[in-house]
This record gives sequence, C-alpha cells and structure tokens, in this order.
Amino acid sequence: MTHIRRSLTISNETRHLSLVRAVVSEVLDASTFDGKTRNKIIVAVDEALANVVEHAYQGGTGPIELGFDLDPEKLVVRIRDNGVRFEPSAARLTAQIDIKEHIRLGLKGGLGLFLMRQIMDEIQYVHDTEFVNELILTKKQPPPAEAPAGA
Amino acid sequence: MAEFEIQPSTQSARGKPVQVLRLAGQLDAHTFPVLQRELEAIARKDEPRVVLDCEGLEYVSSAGLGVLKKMTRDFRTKQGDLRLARLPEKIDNVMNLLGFSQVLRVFGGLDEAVASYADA
Repeated sequence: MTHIRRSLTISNETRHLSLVRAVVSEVLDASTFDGKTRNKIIVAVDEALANVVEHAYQGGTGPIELGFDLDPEKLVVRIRDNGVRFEPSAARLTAQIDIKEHIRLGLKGGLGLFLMRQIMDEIQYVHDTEFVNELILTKKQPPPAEAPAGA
Repeated sequence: MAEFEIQPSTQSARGKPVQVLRLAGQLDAHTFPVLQRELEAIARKDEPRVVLDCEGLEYVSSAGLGVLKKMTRDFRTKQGDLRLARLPEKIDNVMNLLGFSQVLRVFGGLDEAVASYADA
C-alpha cells in the first residue's frame, strides 16, 4: 500500500471544517479501514479540529496546520496551532458520558473529546515544539485482506 | 463549505400539531446554529412536538448532537419531545457511540414517528 502524506493550512473558521472532512475522506480512500470506521475517523478528526477552531485563538484569528500520514500500519493526524496552550485534564481524558444526565441537565457540549477517544486508538497533546499546541490522533490500520488465489 | 437546510412542515397526530423538520446536508460546528434557531423558535410554543426527518442528513458532529440533547430537555420540560425518523446508518453509528438511542426515540419511518405522538 502506498504511503500517503497530505497537509493543509486553514484559518480558524468553522466554514473550513467540511473541506477538511473531504480531505480526510480522500486520504482514507487509500486505507484498509472499512466504511464504518472511515466515517467514524472523519468524525473524530472533525471533533478535534472544531475544538481547536473554537478555542485556540480565543476569539482572534490564526492559522491551523493539518497533517495526514497514512502508512501501512496506521493513520496519524496532526493538528497544530499557535494559540493558547491547551491540555485537557486527566479527568476529561477519561470521563465517561452519561447521556441521560446530559439531557436531564440540558447540557449542550462535552461530547467531542469523548467521541475522539472512543474512535481513535491514541490521542496525544504535545506542546512548545515548533507550535504551541500539537494534537496527534492515531488509528491503527487493519492488515489488508489477502488477494484471492490466482488474482 | 458545508450546506445544511431545513424544510419545516406541520403534520398532526390525533388532532395535535407535530412539527416535522426535514434535514438535509451536513450538521456540524458551522451549520448547527441554523437548527438551533429553528428548534428554539418551536420551544417557545406549548407542548412542542417535533420530528426530525433525517433521511437527507449526510453528516452530524457533536455540535449538532449537542443541540439535540439541549433541545430535547427543553421540549420535555414543556411536555413535548424531540423524535428522530429515517436516521442514516452512518449517523446512527455515531449516535450509538454516545448512547443517544437510550434517550431519544428513533423511528424507521416518518409516518410512524409522527403517529407516535398520538400515544401521548
């Protein structure tokens, strides 16, 4: 399988989310993930990016760099910004969602990070490298199905 | 840019009005305010009974789902409800990750969803 690398830079505006979903979908076309998993990965990346778009620049504007790296073993997505340093608490990284309680309390948010965790194998927050924030999402690929004999 | 549209109509179940919103396109962090405004307008009525016809919905993110859970609470507080019909499989898969099926009533058919309000 080909090693695929894509990168793009967007401004922190939600109108760009659909474009990024289309790019993720293109990258995943070359993967061995099944259709259901591909759709979930698109959701996970969208959730991660939407959080960065909403919070990184605290009402100001700034660029967000995205990198997609698909090799035979895994997909790695990097979302980088130079906004305000963000590190979710350990509690948020392990919290379970009680949707009944969310509805009882009329909560609107709080689902994105949980979805990312449910879908991806690894979520890593890295700081103060070339960027203030780098969010790295990793999903292992299943091995390719063996070609039928004689094919 | 994500496109998202709502076509509202009114049907009735045992003489009571049911607001049907036919959703089409992508419901994400960019487009969710469109749905939120529509549902907030309905929430001002007494006993808001709503069915979201999701057959044309191509994508939903947590921003869209957040609107659903917030407005479900608001509608139920006023003895109404928010119910879903014709949910595409890929959207159902995401909602199941969050356990939405435990708290929202989902119907395979639109007529069935509207008629469910006749039982109330």
